[in-house]
Amino acid sequence: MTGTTAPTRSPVGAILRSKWQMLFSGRTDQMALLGVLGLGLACVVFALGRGFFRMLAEVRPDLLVPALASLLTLLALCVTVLALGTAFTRLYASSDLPLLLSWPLSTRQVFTVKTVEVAAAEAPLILILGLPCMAAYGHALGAPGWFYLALAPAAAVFHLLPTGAALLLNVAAMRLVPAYRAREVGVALGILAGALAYAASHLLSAIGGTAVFTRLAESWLGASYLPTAWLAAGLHAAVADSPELFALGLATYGTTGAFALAAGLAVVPRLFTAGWGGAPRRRLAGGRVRRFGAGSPALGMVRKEILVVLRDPTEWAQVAYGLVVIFVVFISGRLRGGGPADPFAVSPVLVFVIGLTLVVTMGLTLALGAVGREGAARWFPLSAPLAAEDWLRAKMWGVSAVVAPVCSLLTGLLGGVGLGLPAGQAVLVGLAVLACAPGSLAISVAVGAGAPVFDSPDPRRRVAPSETVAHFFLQAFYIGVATAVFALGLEAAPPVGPVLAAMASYLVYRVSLRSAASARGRWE
Amino acid sequence: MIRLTGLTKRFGDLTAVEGLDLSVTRGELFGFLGPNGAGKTTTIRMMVGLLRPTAGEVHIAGRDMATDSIAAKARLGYVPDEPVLYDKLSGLEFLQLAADVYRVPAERARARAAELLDVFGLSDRAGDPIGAYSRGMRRRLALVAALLHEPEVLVLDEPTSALDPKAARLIKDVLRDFCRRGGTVFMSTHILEIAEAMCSQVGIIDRGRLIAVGTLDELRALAEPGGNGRAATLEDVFLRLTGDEGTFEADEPFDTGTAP
Repeated sequence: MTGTTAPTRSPVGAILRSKWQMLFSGRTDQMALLGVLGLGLACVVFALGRGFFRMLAEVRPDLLVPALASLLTLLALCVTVLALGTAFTRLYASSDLPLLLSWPLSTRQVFTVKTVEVAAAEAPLILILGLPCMAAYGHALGAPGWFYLALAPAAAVFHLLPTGAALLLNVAAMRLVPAYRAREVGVALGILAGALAYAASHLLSAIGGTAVFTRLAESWLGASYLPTAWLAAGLHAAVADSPELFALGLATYGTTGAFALAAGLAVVPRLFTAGWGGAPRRRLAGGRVRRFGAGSPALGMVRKEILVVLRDPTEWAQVAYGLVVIFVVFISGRLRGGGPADPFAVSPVLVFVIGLTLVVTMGLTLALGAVGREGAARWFPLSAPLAAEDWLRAKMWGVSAVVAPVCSLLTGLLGGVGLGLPAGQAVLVGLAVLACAPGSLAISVAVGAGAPVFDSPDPRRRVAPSETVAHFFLQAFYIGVATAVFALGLEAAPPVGPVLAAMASYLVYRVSLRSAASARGRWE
Repeated sequence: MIRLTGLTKRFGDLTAVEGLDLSVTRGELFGFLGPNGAGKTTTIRMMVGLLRPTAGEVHIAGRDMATDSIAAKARLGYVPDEPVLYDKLSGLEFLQLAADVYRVPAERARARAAELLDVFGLSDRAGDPIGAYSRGMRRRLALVAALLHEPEVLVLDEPTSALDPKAARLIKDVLRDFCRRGGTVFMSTHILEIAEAMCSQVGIIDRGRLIAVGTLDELRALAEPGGNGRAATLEDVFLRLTGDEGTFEADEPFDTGTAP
């Protein structure tokens, strides 16, 4: 036999190449749309960052590096928190794991593939927020031309630490608990990370006030012992046209990130497999029932929807992330800085908007992915004697039964206890949120029904990205209309507010139901 | 009981099923055979309302699946080739859901669920989450759910795959009993021995077209014109009709790549 032996391709490289191809296959338009949106957002971040750093250069030039370090630290924390969830999904719940593990690949090679997947999933955040922020710093301070070229390795290296930390935390956590607890641990990690983010934000708000950026830069977030401070110092050196010091900063930061990744790779053969395996779980309460069934197809489907949602920790992990982020954004500043003297802080309309934002946040996982959540089990409702509208109605009611009371209660507590709203007004706002939640959740279910992704184990990816973007626009519109209606009602007479809001919600629910049912052909 | 008329399904340029005409009468156990990718599962998915046909009609117990789908679906029970169920529900909760969706009165549903769970050997595991079930258990649970509302028609896609011999035998007995009581079964299978042993009528589909339908004797006669039709097995008939008769005969020892 003659001929040459073809060079053996790296199996990891081949797998990653095919995954890259799958990412774009048939989704060129969606990716282009997301690219344009991302670019737009990056431009906004750049413009804001440039303005901020220019202002700081005039007022407090001594705080430039600590401020950049603080921003990078916050971004690294955000990426780490998000990567925790992504890493858990990719390492322990992705559908291709059985295939990868059956191939002649070492555990380390599988782990490497998953590491790259996690890094790739979080890369857009760094490209949209981190890179423009660094570029803005250089532009504001008149950096030399090579600075912008140096941003590419800086952004790449910046990625290492949050990704490595998230992977290492996941792998270590799986070692500490039995395999059948893996999913629950994922949830615990998510909530813990969210709580940490909240605590950090709470601390920041305590420091804050009018000169929050100044305080932020002086706080521990900009402390010189943090790796992000080394990176910030390196970038500042690049602005000052000092390539050696830039390389030093980049190398010290990169070494820390590489150490986290290397630690993961070193311990992986012993730790990685601990989270796998479908060990049997406990018996459920449904083992013995007094009354068989809910009595009607609609109630039966609603009951199923509630049980499935309540028993899926990955759903709740995502919800917990969202809720914590919302609380950090809206509340932490108010807890320290706001008060009854601030008329904005006690406005029931503002609390109503916060309440609806909570609903949208919870719905982002639970309602938007409701149709996609059926996955390969959708043969059952589709072959059952149910109209598409019945099935979707059950989804909308089921999710509303879980989300609406929680958000209503949280909003009431937030308004009354957190923001000092009079008790009567807090109850009124809570009721209005309860009334408006079904409309918002119906929008989410309907949008999700239009482009469901049935084979995603990740609750955040059960809908096509373009649909997720459209969902935010629709929700913003709905919040605007519902808020206007609620405010008008309050003007007329306080109890009219929730009544008008309920009417708007019902109208939106009906329209969403019809629209969603027309997408029946896309579930085949 | 089952009538398919001009049933066609196209996916873009690919025609998966073309102009399929077929009738299955009450009490029959109909075996639907065909090579991989012949269009068996696509046909079944159109029959149960999972896929909308590009053209043609499906009638189940006299109800048109396109215009009266709720009534048609209420009269059939379906078990897919890979019965993915709701992992977060227990087996019993899934049966409760099926009872609600198919409007089975609560007391009747409870009694029937208990009986069927017992028959299929799932009583002890009914309270466990479905996520902890094996593939065979999932298939048995899906069959229990399909039988719960006492359907007139059962549509089964590869019903005996992933089952141990004992469970496969049980399912064969259950299906025979179902037909004896007047029910109609439409099942696809790759296992020709099962079709030969169980089915009163067999249909063979190849490249989306129904190329033969009839009793086993009729198919033998069709495959072997002039012969007495007794000697050929269903496997022979199947291979002749699908034009895939060749057997592997190597001139030289064939290296299968197996390590010594």
